[in-house]
Amino acid sequence: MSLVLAGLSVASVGPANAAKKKYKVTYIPKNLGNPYFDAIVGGFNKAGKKLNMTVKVVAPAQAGATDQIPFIEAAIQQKVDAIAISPNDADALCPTLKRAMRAGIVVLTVNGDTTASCRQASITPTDFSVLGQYLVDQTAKLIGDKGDWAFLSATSTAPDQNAWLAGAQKYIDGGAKPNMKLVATVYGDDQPEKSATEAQALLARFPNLKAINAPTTVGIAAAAQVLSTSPLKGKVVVTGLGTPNQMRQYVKDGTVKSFSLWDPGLQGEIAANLIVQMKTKKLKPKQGLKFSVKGVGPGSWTMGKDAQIIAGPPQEFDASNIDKFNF
Amino acid sequence: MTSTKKTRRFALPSHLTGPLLILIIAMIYGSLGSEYFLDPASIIFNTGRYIEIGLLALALTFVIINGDIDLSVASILAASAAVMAKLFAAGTPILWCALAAVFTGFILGLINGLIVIKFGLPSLVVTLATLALYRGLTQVLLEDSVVADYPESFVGFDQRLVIGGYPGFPAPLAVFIVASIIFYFILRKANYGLLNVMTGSNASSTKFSGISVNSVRLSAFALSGLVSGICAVLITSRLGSTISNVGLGLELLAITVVVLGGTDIFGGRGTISGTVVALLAIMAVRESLVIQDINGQVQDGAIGLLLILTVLVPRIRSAIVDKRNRKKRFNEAQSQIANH
Repeated sequence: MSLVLAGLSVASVGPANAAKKKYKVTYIPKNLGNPYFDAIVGGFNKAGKKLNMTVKVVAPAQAGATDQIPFIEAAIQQKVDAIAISPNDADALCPTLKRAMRAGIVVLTVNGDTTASCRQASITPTDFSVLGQYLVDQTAKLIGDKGDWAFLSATSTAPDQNAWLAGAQKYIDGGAKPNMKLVATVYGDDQPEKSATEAQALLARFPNLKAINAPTTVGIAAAAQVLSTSPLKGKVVVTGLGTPNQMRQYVKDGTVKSFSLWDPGLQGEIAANLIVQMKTKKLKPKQGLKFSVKGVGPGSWTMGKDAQIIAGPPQEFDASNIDKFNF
Repeated sequence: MTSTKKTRRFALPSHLTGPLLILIIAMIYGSLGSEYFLDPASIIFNTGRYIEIGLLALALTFVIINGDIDLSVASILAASAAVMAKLFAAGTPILWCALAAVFTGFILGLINGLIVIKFGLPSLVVTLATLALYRGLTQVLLEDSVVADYPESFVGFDQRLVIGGYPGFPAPLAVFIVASIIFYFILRKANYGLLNVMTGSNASSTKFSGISVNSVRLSAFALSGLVSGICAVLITSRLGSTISNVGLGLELLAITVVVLGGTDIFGGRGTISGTVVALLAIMAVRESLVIQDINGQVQDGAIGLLLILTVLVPRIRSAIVDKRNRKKRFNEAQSQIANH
C-alpha cells in the first residue's frame, strides 16, 4: 500500500474553485421510487448545489439489461458533461457508454459496476471484502465479546451474503473473538415469513443465544419484528445490515440498539465532486490516484484496482442518528 | 379541377392516419421541448435501437393478419442468442454462430406453428407456453453467465455507417428499410401474402377454395422465428454480450407496433406500411420523451394511451356515423309514414 501511495498524484479542489462553469450531469439509477437510490440522488443534489451543477435523474420503468440505453443516448444527445449510472448490466451497456466517452463525456458507475473499460471510475458504497469481519466485530461490540450468536442470512446461494459469511468464518478461524461462539447459520431466503420463522427457531433452539446477526435487510427486519413481541426482547441482540426506514420503529421501541449499512448518499456526493475535478483538474482516474473533497465522508480516497473508489466505512445507525437518514 | 380529383390527391390510407398524426405531433412536441431533439444525426442514429422491435413487428404483421399471434418472439430471440453465445464460447467462428442462431430461430418458430396446427390449439396459448419454455431453455443454456468478448469486427454494427459523412446513414436503418421492402412485396405482390390476408378474413372459405390455410399459417410462424433468430444476431452485435434476459419484453413492444399500424388483432386486415409508420411513430414518441428527461414509466404510459386512442377513435367515429345514419333513416321512415 505504501509503495502505491509513494507514486500517486494528489489533487484537491475546493468547491469555490469549481463554481465558474455550470455543469450538466445525468444520473441514471437502476429504477425510480426506490428510497435507496433516492438517497444517492440526495447526495448528488447536495454536492451539486455547491458545485454549480445541475443533476438530472432519469430511469427506465424496468430493470432489464438494455433499458438504460435510451437514457444514455439522450444524455449524449444533450451534450452533458458527465453521466453517472448505477448499471443494470455489466456488459450490455458497454457499447453505448463507450460512445459517450468518445463524445468527451465523463462516465462514472455508482453503486454497481460495468466492465472496467466502459467507464472511467467506479464508486462502491463500502469495502465489501472486509464486511464479514465487520459483522463479527459489530456483534461483539453489542454482546461484550462473549456468548453464543447466530447468522440469519438471505438465501443459501446469495453470492454477496455467502462471501461475507465466509469472511466472518475466516476471521473467527484466525482467532478473533475466542469467547464468542457462532452456533448456527440459518437462511430466511429473504422472505419476511420464512425469516421470522427461522429467527423464532433460533431463539427456541439456543436458550443461551446472545445475538442474531442478519446481514440482509429482509432478515434483520423480520428478526427485529419477532423479538419486539418476545419476552426475550432486551436480552437477545438483533443486529446486522438494514435500512433506517425499515428499522426505525425497532430502534425507537428498544428492540434493536444498533445496526449498520452504508450511507448511499455519500456515493452521490463523491461522484459529483469527482466529475468536477476530472473536468477542472484534468484528473485521470487510475489505480493509486488520490483525490480529496473537504467535508465529505472520509475526506479523501485512493483509487483501487480499475479505478474503483470505496466511498467509506459502513455507517452505524442507532437512536442518536437514525432520524437523519431516510432510505 | 373536380372535387373527386382533389380528395384523391390528398387521400391518405385510413390506417396510416393515426400513426402519422402521432409521428407529427411527437416531432413537434420533441422540438418544442428540447433544443437537442431535432438533430438529424442523432435521430437517424437512434433508430438503431429499434431495429429488433421493427423487424419483429414486420414478421408479426403476417402472423397477426392470419388471425394468429406469436408471443414467443423475444424468447426465440433469447434462445437463438444463447445458442450463438454457447457456440462462440466453444470456439466456433462467429459467422457459423450467427447462422446457427438464425437456424435455431427458424426451428423454434416452426415448432410453434406445428403445435398450433397439428393439435388445433389457439396460438395465444401455445406461444404463451413457448414464451416461457424458450426463455427457460435460454436460462438453462446460459445460467447466470455472461458471454462477452465477441470479436471487434462483429460488435457494434449499429454504430457503423452505410453512408458516411453528416448526418450519415447507419446500418440498422438500412437493414430495416430493405426488410420493409421485402416484406411489402411478400404481402402485396407474392401469392403468399395474398393467402395470408385471405386466411385471416375468412379462414373456412379459403380452405374450401382449395388453398391450404395451414401451410400459410405455418410459414408465418416459421418466418417469425427466422426473423427472431436474425434479431438475436443483431442484438448480440449491438450489445456486444449475451445474457439470459436478453430482449425480455420485446414481444409486447413489437405487437404494439403492429396493432398501432392498423393491423387487426383478430386478423384479416393489415399492411406493412402501417407497421413501418407505427414504428416511426413509437420511435418519435419515445425519443421526444426521453430527450426531455421523462422517465420510463411515463413513456410506457404514453405509448399505452396512444395505442388505446388509435384503436378507439375510429371505432367511436364509426359508431357516431352509424347512429347518425340510423337517425336519418328513422326520420325518413317517419316522414314517409306521415306522408301516407
